[in-house]
Amino acid sequence: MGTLSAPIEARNLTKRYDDLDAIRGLSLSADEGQVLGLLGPNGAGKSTTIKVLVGLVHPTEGEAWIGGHHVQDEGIQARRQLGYLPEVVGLYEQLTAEAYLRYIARFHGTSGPRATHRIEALLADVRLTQAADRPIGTFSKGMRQRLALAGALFHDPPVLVLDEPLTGLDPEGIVKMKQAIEQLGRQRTVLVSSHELHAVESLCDRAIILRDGEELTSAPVAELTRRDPPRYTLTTADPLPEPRALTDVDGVRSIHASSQSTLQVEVTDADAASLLVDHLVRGGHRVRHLERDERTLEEAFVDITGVRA
Amino acid sequence: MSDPWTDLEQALAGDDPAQVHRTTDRIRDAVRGAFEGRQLVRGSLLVERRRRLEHTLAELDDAVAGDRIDEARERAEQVRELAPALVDQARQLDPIDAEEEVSTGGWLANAGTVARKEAVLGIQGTRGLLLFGILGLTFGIGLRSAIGGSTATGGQASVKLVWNYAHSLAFLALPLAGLLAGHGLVNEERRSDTIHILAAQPVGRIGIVLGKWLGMAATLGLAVAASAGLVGTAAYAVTGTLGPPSAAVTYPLACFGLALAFGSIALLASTLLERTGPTLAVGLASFVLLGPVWQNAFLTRSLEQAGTIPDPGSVLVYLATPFTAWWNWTSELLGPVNDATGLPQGEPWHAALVNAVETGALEALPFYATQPYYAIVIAAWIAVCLGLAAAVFRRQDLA
Ligand SMILES: Nc1ncnc2c1ncn2[C@@H]1O[C@H](COP(=O)(O)OP(=O)(O)O)[C@@H](O)[C@H]1O
Ligand SMILES: [Mg+2]
Repeated sequence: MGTLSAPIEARNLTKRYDDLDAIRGLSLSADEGQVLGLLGPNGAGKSTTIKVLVGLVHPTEGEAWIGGHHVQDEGIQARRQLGYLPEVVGLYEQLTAEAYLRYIARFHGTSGPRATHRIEALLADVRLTQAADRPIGTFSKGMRQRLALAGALFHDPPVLVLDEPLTGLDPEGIVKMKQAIEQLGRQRTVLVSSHELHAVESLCDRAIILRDGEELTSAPVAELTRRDPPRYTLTTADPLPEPRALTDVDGVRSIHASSQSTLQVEVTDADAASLLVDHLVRGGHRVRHLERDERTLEEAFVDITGVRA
Repeated sequence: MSDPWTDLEQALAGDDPAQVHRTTDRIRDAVRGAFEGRQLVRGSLLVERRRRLEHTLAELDDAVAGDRIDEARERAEQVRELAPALVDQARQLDPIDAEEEVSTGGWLANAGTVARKEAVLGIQGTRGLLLFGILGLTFGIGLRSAIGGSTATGGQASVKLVWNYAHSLAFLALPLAGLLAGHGLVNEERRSDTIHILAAQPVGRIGIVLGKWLGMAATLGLAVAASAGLVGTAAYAVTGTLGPPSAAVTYPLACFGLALAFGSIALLASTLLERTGPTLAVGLASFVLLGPVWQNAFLTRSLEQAGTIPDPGSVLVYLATPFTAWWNWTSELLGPVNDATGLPQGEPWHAALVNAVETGALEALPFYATQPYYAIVIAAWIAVCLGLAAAVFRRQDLA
């Protein structure tokens, strides 16, 4: 047995369409139990990257592995470890939900009563038990998405690849899908793409931000959302007569007062924030609340690119 | 008895590699025991976890043997974390029913899954309806013509006539049935986006093409068998015999073969083209219209010679045989339509057919007398189309 490989690994992927590079020189790697976000505006190359990993699109350059299996040379082994939810969910309209899952079951060597057991459990998980015998043609977008997810989970794959799983769902659907992803991400490796950065930032451990087919940044989400220099929101019990004067305190770079008792303070580092609190307390004020502000991923994207996502 | 992984720390402290090995072996046994008789899916999370645990155990043994105590402790820590959860989860898996065969879900089996779906949807859908309609109608018209048109001879001879009529007419409809069965098999899945989930299953691209071809063959086979069964039953009801096996078996088989060749061409087209509906219609029309050119370009032959080995012949001529024969026969049958002079005198539109049956020209029809040659040409067509379709589809991006 060789060394254990990352559940998802891609090196130097390029996909060229005519004279357009949908992705260029992209590398990524996800660890076990990690939810990896593949983020960026429309046309950034997210779906192309995912299709290369699933083996739907052949890269012009570079290579990819799922669970150590080369997606091109050992595609069948690679896809055995993979569950895939496509961006556009195409299902056979004439089949019932149950018949669809039975069809998927056969691809994993399961049929008959053994499949029934699993299918019932999956249908219950995605809340489609009532609709099990209805043709897929009568399903709403959310139901299709859930059924496709059930199909992707049939063989309990260690790696899940979800392309824009939240797009087009209603608010309740989004909440439920996020819960599902969160739960799946505890044991599995999940790659999730989204053009709505804020929608997935709470889900992802790490994010890769793409634009125009290239990686802008790849970092833990906590790192991306950290402001540098740090900013705090500070609330006092009593109104401060002269908030602006606080810029004189060591380490305070700027002050923005939304009211006389609520301030946004930009400081050089975390120590400066505690010095500021000391300063206020010594001046006879009561500090009620101090919280470090994070930036959203969207703000991070804007900061990095100067362009709105 | 305690769980073996709880003894790991003590074993390590004992500074005795043999003791550690015994413990890791007991862990391996415990894991094997937990997995025994459980239903597993290849590539699933638990299978991967087990692989990981076994790898870590091997590394632990290695580290102990190499006296790398820090690494050994680290590995032991990982084992203590992985093993209990794994054993626990494995015990919760469904037990395998001893009677049931555990299929591996290999690529060939999965091509079968594709075929099965294709056949089921093909037979249930409009495609199947049209297919049964076309073949049933033509076989039926043949039957009706034979029973009504020739009652002079009795017994075996008349049953043979029934088959001749049915086969001759069905033969006309075969390219249409074949094209219908193979039409859009791949590109329709691309247009409806169902190809993405299909191609993400553990079945290769070749498995998908093969599966689709098999599904089409099953659909066509069933349609031909059902239509032929209808004719056979009716012939039996009228005459009390099924006729010579050469007629009852060879004719439907020859029909099936030609339809399959056309179906394979349609399958190839569906991998090459984005839309095949118009293309196939134009293709079929020009094939019929170009019949005379085709015939003169490759071989000039009479109906009686259709299906016999051309001599001298190039590969192209050989490959063209089924289609040339088809065209010959079509033009023969459609003769009265082109030349309508007999119709006002009350001559039936299928006079040519009746005539061909009665003069024995049908005996030479494709490919009654030359089955092996016919089968080889048909097989060559299918192999070329299927091979090309697989090669093309394998390289395609399913974006
Ligand atoms: N099949 C294709 N042919 C040509 N260009 C394509 C194709 N698929 C994607 N592209 C282009 O590649 C770029 C990346 O697309 P995509 O990966 O779908 O982006 P995303 O999923 O991030 O929105 C886009 O400019 C898109 O137009
Ligand atoms: Mg996309």
